[in-house]
Amino acid sequence: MPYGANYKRQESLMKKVTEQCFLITAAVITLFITPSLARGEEESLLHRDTLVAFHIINSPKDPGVSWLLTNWLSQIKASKKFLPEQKHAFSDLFKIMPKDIEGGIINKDILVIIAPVPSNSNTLKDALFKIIKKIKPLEKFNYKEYKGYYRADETKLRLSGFAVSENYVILTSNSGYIKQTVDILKGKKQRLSDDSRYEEIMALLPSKSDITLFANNKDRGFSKVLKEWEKQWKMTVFLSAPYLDSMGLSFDVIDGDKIKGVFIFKCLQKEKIPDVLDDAKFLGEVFRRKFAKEKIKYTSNVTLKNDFVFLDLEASGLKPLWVKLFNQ
Amino acid sequence: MFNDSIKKKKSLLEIALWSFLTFASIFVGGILIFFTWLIWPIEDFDATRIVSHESNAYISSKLDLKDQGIKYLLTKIEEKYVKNPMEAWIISCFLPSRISGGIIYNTDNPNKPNYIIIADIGWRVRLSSLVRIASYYHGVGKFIAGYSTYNGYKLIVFGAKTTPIAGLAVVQGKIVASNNIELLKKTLDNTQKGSFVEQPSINYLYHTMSQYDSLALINNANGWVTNIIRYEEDKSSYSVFPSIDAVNAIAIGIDIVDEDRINGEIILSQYLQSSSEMVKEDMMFFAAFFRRVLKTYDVDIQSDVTIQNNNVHFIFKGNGFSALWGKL
Repeated sequence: MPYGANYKRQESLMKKVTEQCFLITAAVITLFITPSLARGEEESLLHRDTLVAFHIINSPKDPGVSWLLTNWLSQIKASKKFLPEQKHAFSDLFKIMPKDIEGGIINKDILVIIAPVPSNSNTLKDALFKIIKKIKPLEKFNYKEYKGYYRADETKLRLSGFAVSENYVILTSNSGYIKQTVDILKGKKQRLSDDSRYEEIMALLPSKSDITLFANNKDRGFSKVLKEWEKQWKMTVFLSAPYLDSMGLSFDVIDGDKIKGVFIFKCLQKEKIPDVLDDAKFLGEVFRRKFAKEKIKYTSNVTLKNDFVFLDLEASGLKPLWVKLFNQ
Repeated sequence: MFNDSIKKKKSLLEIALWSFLTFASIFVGGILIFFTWLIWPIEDFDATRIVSHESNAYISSKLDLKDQGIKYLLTKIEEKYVKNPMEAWIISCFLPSRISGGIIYNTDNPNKPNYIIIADIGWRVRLSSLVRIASYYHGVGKFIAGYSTYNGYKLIVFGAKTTPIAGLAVVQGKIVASNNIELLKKTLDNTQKGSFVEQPSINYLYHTMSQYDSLALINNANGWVTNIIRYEEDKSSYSVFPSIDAVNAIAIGIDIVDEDRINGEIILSQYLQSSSEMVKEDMMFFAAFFRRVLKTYDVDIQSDVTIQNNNVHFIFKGNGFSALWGKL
């Protein structure tokens, strides 16, 4: 009698996939809030080989992002996972959060976040030191004008070190990559914004958005990263990933209750466009079923424009869901 | 005198020869009669007749070794679990041509349903008394608590609580077993009464799907599947099957074509034709979901979802199962 095990498995997989999506979105929104490089008008700070790049605009005037940050911070303060001094550090960090935050995943394992340094750089350094530090003492980092600390027990895709100069703060999961990032920032060469895929997708994303994400599938880079995640989820979410050229995503948190977003997929081969459309519809359906149970109003629409597949979505009534996610 | 002696010897020899021939004839005749009796076609009946209409589900699987797919699967199971060649030989001798059964959902203990298992073994059932001989063997004997008679049927009652069956009986060419002795007795009483597949909602599905090697029929008329799904949906906050209320019965048919291929069909039967579109939408989502889950194991699924009157049909063909069997 297969109902129990299969159904539970299906439910838990769905839950994992959707929650991962939300957690990534929430983490992206909340982790990064700083100065920058408004999308599409300035060059990216990330290297051209970045597989997944994200950009968050933390405008204090934006009621959506402000609401999310305030709530996230209050959940951190209530959490038992953090020490009291770490909670203070988060509090300080949130006060000086930069307006633009850019980040990316490089070589499947390395996570890097770059943001302009706020006026109060000492507060920033102190806060990051306390947040990054765990049990063992931190190692010092010194390269060119960048100074910082890193944890010796690095794990992939987990932030474990930072370096600060007068202009930028760099956080990364790999202390070795801080040097490379510094060189990229200094040299202004081989930036992601020099890639035609990036330019093309960014030009199509709405100009007003709080979060943008770009996935580069050059040499199937993104699909390899995705495959690793899919192994953990035990589900191939994007069947058409190997045939994608690139993917873009933009979210606008209108307020604490409403979100509007668009996914854009560019296909490598025209004959694979129906597969990409199928994936986009499935993704829309995954969200719809999650939102339906949470009593969230949700609409989505999949369209094909000039060989680009668009998945537009809009959801309202999200407040309880955000609170639930921050509580995890 | 000499001649008399020769005559006497000759007659003794004749007597001995005739005696030998008589005994040999009786012996050979006995063996012939025994084997004729053993393999003489046994009076039999359709197993579905004893699966009570009170069951919530019916399952059936042909175990035909001439079928390439079944043979492959059984060989794999044998390789994995049966290490002793003698055991393998005994199992192959007693391998039923079909296994079927009924499941009764236990509302008091949903994780432990009651069930009936029916093994079609035909004329080999005459060797069932060997079970009594085998019971003297410690490995078998420790499970058998006793023998009794019920309604003219001999019952073997198993004592150990860990065994998946509580007792069994031989009914013509079948061995009928259950995890609940009361259910087994009720089944023996019910031989001539209304069966699960005779119910109008199930009958059509049974006849439509009977060509499949393995078949599962689920009756949702009392809403037991709906209750399970709603419970799981609430628990995981995910709306997987919103149209389940409209589904009256479900049929799942599967053919293992060979080690690499599986063909199958799922029918969702509704009370009203007007719900078909809604149910079809859910079915398409399952199709997309399972396609993506199986893709992780390098299995490709091609499928089609159609509506025929009150039924939504999902027909699929899968390739690449050989690696998955190995993992399982």
